[in-house]
Amino acid sequence: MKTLFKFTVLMLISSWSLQAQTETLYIKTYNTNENTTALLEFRGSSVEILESPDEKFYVEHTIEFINYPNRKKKAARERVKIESEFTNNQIKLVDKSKFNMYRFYQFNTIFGSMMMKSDKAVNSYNYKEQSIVLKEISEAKKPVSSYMRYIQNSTRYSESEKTKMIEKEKKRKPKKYISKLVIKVPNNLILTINSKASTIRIKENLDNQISLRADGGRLYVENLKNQNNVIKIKDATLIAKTINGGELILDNTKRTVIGELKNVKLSSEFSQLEIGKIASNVEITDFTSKYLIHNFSNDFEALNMITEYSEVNLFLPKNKGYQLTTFGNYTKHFVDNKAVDFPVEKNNNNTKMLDLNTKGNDNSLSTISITTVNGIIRLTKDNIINFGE
Amino acid sequence: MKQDIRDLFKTEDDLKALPENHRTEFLEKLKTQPKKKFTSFSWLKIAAISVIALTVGYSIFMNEPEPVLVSPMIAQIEAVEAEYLKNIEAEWENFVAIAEDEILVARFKKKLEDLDKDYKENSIRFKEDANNLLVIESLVDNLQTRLQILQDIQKHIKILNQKNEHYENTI
Repeated sequence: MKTLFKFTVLMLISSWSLQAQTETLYIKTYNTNENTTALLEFRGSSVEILESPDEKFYVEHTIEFINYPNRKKKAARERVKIESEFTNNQIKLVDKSKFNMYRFYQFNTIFGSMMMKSDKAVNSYNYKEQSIVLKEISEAKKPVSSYMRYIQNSTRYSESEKTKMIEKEKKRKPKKYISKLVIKVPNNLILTINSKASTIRIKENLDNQISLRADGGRLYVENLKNQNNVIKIKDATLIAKTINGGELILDNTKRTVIGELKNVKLSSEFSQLEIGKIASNVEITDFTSKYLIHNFSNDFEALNMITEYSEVNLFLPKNKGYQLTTFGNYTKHFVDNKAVDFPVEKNNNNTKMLDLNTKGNDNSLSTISITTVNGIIRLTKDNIINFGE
Repeated sequence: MKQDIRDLFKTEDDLKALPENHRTEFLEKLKTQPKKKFTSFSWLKIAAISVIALTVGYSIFMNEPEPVLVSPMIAQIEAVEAEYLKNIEAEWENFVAIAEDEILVARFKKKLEDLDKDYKENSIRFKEDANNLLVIESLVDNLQTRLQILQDIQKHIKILNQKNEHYENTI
C-alpha cells in the first residue's frame, strides 16, 4: 500500500511537470554604483520592470510551457535572444527575441479584430471617485489572454457568439508558452528605455530618473516619481496609477488612464486621456485630444491648459474653492450640460470667455486656466456630463 | 502509252471475290507467328529512357523559379489594408470639404503622412516576423487611428459650427 501511494505521488508530480515547466533561458547580474546608467531596448517584447532588492541590476528571461508540444519547444527557445553588456559604467540590454503566436489564434481571432470597428457612440461621461478610477486601472493592468481580448474587441461576432466562444475557450485545455523578461533595477540607476510594439509593466514604485520612449504597444505603470523623467509615448496605451514629476509627451495614445497626475508638464496630441485626479501643479498643452478629468486633490494649486481643437470634459472641484477662467476664441462651452455662447472676437485669440469661481471652506482658491482655440469645453458640478450638442 | 488507271479495276478478274475461309486462315497464321521476346537489352533501353526522362524532368523542375507563396496572414492584412485605405480616403475628402482652417488641414496631412511612414516600417517588420502579434496589432491600430482621427475632427468641426438654437446662459 505504501509503495502504491509513493507511486501515485510520483505519477502526479511527473504529470504536473509535464503540464507546466518553467525554464530560465537567460540570467545576468551586474554590479552598479551611483553613476551607472542603463539602456534598455525592446522590440515586440513583454517586459516586467521591478525594483531591485539591492544595488545590483538583474536580468532574467524565463519561458513557461503549459501543455506545449515537446516537438515545438526547441523552436520556442530559439526565438528568445537577449544580449547585454556592461561597458563604461553603462549596462546595455537588447531584447531581440521573436514573438511566436500560436497558430490557432491566427485565423479565428485576429481576422475578427481587424474588421472595421464600429463607431460606438458615447453620449455621456459619468463622474468617478478616485478610488473607482484606481480600481479600473488595477483591472486594466491584469494580463488578459490575446484570444479573449480579440474576441471581446471584435465586431465580427454578436454578443451571444462572443459569450459562447469565451466559455468554450475557458473550458479548453491551454497549450501555450509564456515568455517573460524580468528586469530589476536599483533605485540609483538612470534608465533609458527605447521600446517598439512592446508591453512594459513597471510593477513597482520607481523613483529612478527615467527617459522612456515607447512607440506602439502598452505601458502599465504603478507609480513613477522623478522631476527629471521624460516619458514619450506614441501610438500606444498608457495605464498608470501615478505620474509624479517630469515631462509626459503623448502622441496618439488611444487609451490613457492616469490615476493621479502631479507636478507634470504634459504635451499631447491626437490622444484620449482619462485622469482620476489632478494634484499640485499641472500644465497641459494639447492639439485635438479628448480629456476627461474627474477630481482635484486637496493640495491642488493650479491647472493650466493651452489647447487647440481639443475637447475638455471636467468635473469641477468638489473638495475646494477654485477660480476657473477660459480664454481664447471660437470655442463651445457647456456648463452644467447647457450651452453658453460668446461673441466671436476675430482679432483677439485671448479673449476672456468664461469665469467661474467658488470659495472653499478655507477661503483658498486654486486656479484652473484654459486657453483654447476651436475647442469644446464641458464643465459641470453634477455627476454626469451629457453631450447635448 | 496513256491509259486511265480507273479502267484497270473494271475487268471481271480484278473484281473476283475473296475465298470464304480467308479470315480464318489469316487468324491461324497470326497465331502461329513466334512471339517477340523482351531481351535484357530491351529492359536496359526502358531503364535508360526512364533515367533520361527523370533527369530532364528534375532539372526542369529545379530550374523553375519557386512559386511565390503569400502567407494567409499577409494576404489577410493586405485585404484589410485595402478596405481601410478606401475608407480613409473617403473620410479625408469629407474632412477637406468641411475644414476652413488651412493650418488644421496641413497638420492632419502631416499626421497622416507620419502614420503612413510608420505603417511602411511596421510592414517590413511584419514580413520578417509574420507571427508577431504586437506587430500585427500595430499595423491594424495604425489604420484604425487614421480613420478615427479623421472622423473625430469632422465631428468636432460640426459641433463648433452648430448654432445654439436653445441658447441658455447659465452664468
